[in-house]
Amino acid sequence: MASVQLRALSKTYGGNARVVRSVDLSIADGEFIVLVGPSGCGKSTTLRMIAGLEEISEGTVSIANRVVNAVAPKDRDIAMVFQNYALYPHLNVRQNLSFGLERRRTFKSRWRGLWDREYRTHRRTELAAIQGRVEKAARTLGIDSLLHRQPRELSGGQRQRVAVGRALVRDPAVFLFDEPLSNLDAHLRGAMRTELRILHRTLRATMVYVTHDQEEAMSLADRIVVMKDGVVQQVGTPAEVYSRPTNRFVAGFIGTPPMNMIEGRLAHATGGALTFHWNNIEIALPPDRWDPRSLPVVGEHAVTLGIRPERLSPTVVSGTGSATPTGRVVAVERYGATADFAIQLAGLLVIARVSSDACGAVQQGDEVALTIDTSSVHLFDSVSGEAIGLAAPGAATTTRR
Amino acid sequence: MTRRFVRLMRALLTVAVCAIVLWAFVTVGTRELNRFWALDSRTELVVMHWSGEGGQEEDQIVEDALRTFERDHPTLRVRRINPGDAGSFYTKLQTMMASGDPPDVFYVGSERIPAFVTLGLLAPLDGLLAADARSQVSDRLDLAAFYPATVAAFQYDGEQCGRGALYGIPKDFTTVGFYWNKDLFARAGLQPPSANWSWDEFIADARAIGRLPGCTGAEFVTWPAMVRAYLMSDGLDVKGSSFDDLRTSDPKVLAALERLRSWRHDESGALTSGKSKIATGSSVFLSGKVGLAGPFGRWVVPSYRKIPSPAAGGFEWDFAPLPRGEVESNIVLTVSWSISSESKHPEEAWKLVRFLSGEQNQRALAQLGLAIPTIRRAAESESFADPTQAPANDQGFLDAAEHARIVDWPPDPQFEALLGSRLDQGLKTGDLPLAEAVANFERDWKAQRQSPLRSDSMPPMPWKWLSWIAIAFVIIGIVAATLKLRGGALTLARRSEERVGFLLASPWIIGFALFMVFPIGMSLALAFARWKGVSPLGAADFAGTANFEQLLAFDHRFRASLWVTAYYAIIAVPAGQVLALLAALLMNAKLRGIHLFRAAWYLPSVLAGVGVAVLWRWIFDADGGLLNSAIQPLLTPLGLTAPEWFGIDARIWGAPAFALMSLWFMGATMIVYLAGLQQIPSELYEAASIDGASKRRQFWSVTLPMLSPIILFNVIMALIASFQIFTQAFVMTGGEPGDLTRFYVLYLYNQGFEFYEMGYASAMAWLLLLIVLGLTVLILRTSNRWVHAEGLRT
Repeated sequence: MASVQLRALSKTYGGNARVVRSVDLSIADGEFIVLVGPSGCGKSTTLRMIAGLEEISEGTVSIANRVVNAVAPKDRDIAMVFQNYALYPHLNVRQNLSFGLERRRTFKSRWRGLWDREYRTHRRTELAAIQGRVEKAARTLGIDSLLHRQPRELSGGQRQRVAVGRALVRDPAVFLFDEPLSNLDAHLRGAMRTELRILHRTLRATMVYVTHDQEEAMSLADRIVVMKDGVVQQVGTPAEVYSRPTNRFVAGFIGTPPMNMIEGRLAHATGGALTFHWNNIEIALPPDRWDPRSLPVVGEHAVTLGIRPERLSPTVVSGTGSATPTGRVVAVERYGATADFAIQLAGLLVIARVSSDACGAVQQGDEVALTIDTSSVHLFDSVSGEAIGLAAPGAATTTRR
Repeated sequence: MTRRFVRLMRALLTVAVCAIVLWAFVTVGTRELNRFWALDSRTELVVMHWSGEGGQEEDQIVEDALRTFERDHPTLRVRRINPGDAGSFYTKLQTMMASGDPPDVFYVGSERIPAFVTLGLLAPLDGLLAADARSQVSDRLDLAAFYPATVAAFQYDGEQCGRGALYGIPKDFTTVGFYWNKDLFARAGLQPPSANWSWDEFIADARAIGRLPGCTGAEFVTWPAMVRAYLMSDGLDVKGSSFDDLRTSDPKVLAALERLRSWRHDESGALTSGKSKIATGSSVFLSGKVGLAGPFGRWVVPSYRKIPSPAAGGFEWDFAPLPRGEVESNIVLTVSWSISSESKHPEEAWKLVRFLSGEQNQRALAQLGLAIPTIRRAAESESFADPTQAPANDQGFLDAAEHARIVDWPPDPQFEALLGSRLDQGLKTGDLPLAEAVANFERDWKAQRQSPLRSDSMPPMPWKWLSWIAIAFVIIGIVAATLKLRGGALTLARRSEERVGFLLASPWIIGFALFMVFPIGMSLALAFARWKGVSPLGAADFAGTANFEQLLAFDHRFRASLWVTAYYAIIAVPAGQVLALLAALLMNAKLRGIHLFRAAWYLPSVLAGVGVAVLWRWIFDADGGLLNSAIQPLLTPLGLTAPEWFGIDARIWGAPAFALMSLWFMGATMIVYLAGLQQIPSELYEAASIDGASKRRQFWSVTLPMLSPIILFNVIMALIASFQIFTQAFVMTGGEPGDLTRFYVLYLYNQGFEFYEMGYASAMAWLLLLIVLGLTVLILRTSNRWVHAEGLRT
């Protein structure tokens, strides 16, 4: 097991296309780190630089406190699981699993054993050890009954297990996963996620995992690294990233359905409290949540208010004139336990997620009043996108451009 | 802007292409129409000849003669065909005869007279000559004025030449002898060959010149006619009174042949090839390093006249007739003007033959220096014996004619071919002991004489029945296809769509049926027939399985050709695949300008076959060829000499030489491999590199398994192609020496177009199909062990 350090890691293609920009990241021994972001954000390139499949333009990668920039992939003590499984199609599962170990044998010669008895003994022990490790890995992943099969005879999920097994059997210091679940159907993906989590618990190995699926990231990670345009936006535990996004991008990217964003202005209300103004609607903000010193100029400065769908609750109204904003329900998606309401609110479409018990009466076309849980709203600078004046001491590390 | 330009260019190109196609149709169409509608009431005669070494000049002389003839005979029109060399001429003649439309008047070499007469292709001329004599025609031919041997060459009574009816008027002829290098003779301190020199003097001169540094004594070609000329000079021959009475094993004949063999193979420097690995052929004389070259006829003179004078770096040369052995002897090689037995205008054709063989035209042709007029007076005139040009000894040719004999051949052309290839093995390459070569010749000729194909009791081919069966098949096919198509309940729209589809595909379907299905069916029928290919199909006999019996049980040359082809395939297929794959790996590199490299590597594959074959003949030339000049310096320190690829080392190196040459055409295979390489997902290499596989291990564990479906495809294609090798061998070696480069298809061609055994050739073609099919099935059967079809998918 080992830690991984990225120092000012950059990747440049053809002189000016910078796909990874000065990434700094410390991955602790035994930690499960997920790199997440939209396609083209540089997460895969970062992973491939750790693996040694991609040359490093600037900065360093260290594994177990050793800079490995110039070390070949096979000597980095890593194992990688690919999106397309990358199983050797002509080898059966057993051979696929043992391929890496076979390459690392000490007693390789087929012929020396013919006259060298000691060599022969070592060779047999070594081969038995390989088979032992293969079978152990296969049992761990529940593929021990498939060892004689060819990859073409396996289902997608089974192939993925073999791909993981191929990494597992090597017992590497660091596991690297490059979108390993994206070729599986949703149901299987969920199951495999749980298994990976369990596997990590059992092995306590360092794992670096790349995905574009924030849900996957949230469910797997010890810590999440959100990336965009080659730049790390936020690093933190799933809870931190979810509840304290450092900027508008992270806030919008993490969470389903995405956070509702409303553009408006701040004003001082009576009693020193703050209010958010937007289209004649006024939302009072709880005063204790923001550090007044870090607030931008109240008044003309454009500010975005973010509110997660589950913090909105619609209630059917009979008349008008209420202080709460009202809108019309234009679509309803019911998931059983919860339901999503798309509400047209003065030229803006917002989503509210409510438990089914709480809003069974609301129908499409109803006029609803929105109750906003003001204790959990987020404010962002509309121009820079940065979060405004978080009062709580930030646990997250933020890297800016 | 650019889109409009592209559209404009596209429109212009379309118009241009349409115009070219239209123009081609119009010109060809009007040519035929003009011929058909011509308001020309003149009778048309078709004349066919070759020009070979005579080239453009001979072509022009014949053309001029024909125009003169037309002027003198206003009621006649002459159309002339000249396919080029003698080989193309005979092929063309054969197809014209098979189509029932032979030329009226054409060249025939005297060696083909028995075969042509037996096949009934030639009209006897005695009646026409006699009629001329009766009516005292002014330009009638007086055969007494001709050299007698030349006339005898065209007389054939069904068994022997020189007797019976006359089938051609000899237009010119040659006797044979040796061309000698005056400078080398002087340097070796030798006297010029005397008029009646002997073989002992010949070999003494050759040995003396062979001792000069860098020189070889003589080039002695072992063509069957020349070997017979050599034997005749000792009063011997390969046959007795008939071709059933072979004399090749006669101790005297064997001793004479053995003497020739030992000159070549036991002495170094006396004769070319053999111990002194110098290529053979008339052109080695041009190098100035060979003292004597022959036996050749007059035909080499035009090319030898181009040898520069000693002042310009060349040498002086002259001619000496064939040396004498026990007797003074020489042979006559001659070509006639003959008339087709199918000619619709024999009287007019005869007038033309009379004119073309007349003294005036003989004198005109004699100026080319290629041959001797057959009319004595013309031969002795200045037209032939030009004192201003070499050789000085023109008289030598004429003197030799006085005691020259004809070299006759049996009607079956295989006699000469068999004798030739066995003599090659016994004398030229020496890869068989002489006695064994001779025994093989006798065995093969006997097998040929007793072939089931020589049966006289074959019924005619039941063409009528076969046509009915074929028509029935076609009808059943059409009905079945219609039923199948109608089977599904189609909507109206689909049906009309389908109809349009078939309409648009119909040119191809019709073309396919006419030019592929029909010939394939015909060749299948012919595989069970005996058909000479020079008469319409109606003349074919039903041979049953006789063709296959002969092939499998008796034909040693068939076995030899199969072995040579397999030998070639065993080398060419793996070597081609390995090299193409290596090249593809190189071409797969991500380099600047890699496209240029790819184009360069592919380029040889687009070059045409015959031109490339000629080029490679130079490359493989044993004496100063590109390849041997390059490898000899590497071999010399090891005490080796570069092989004489198509000479004495042909048994081992002949087929591999062609395999080497086939690598020239690997571009297409390389492209397919390249496409395959680019399909391999990079993750596999990445996974392997993380797993610790070296580059070499990645090639074996990723590249090869992933390419295996493509390897399968390429191997099968290469195998099929390797069994079809023809053009290169046809152009470069003609199958020689012996049968050592006679590949299957080349032998098939020999049978069909040189031995006039079309049925036999068809049987060979179908047997080839079965062989290739069998090998392909074999490979496909083993393929599930080593082909990973999922390599194509990801």
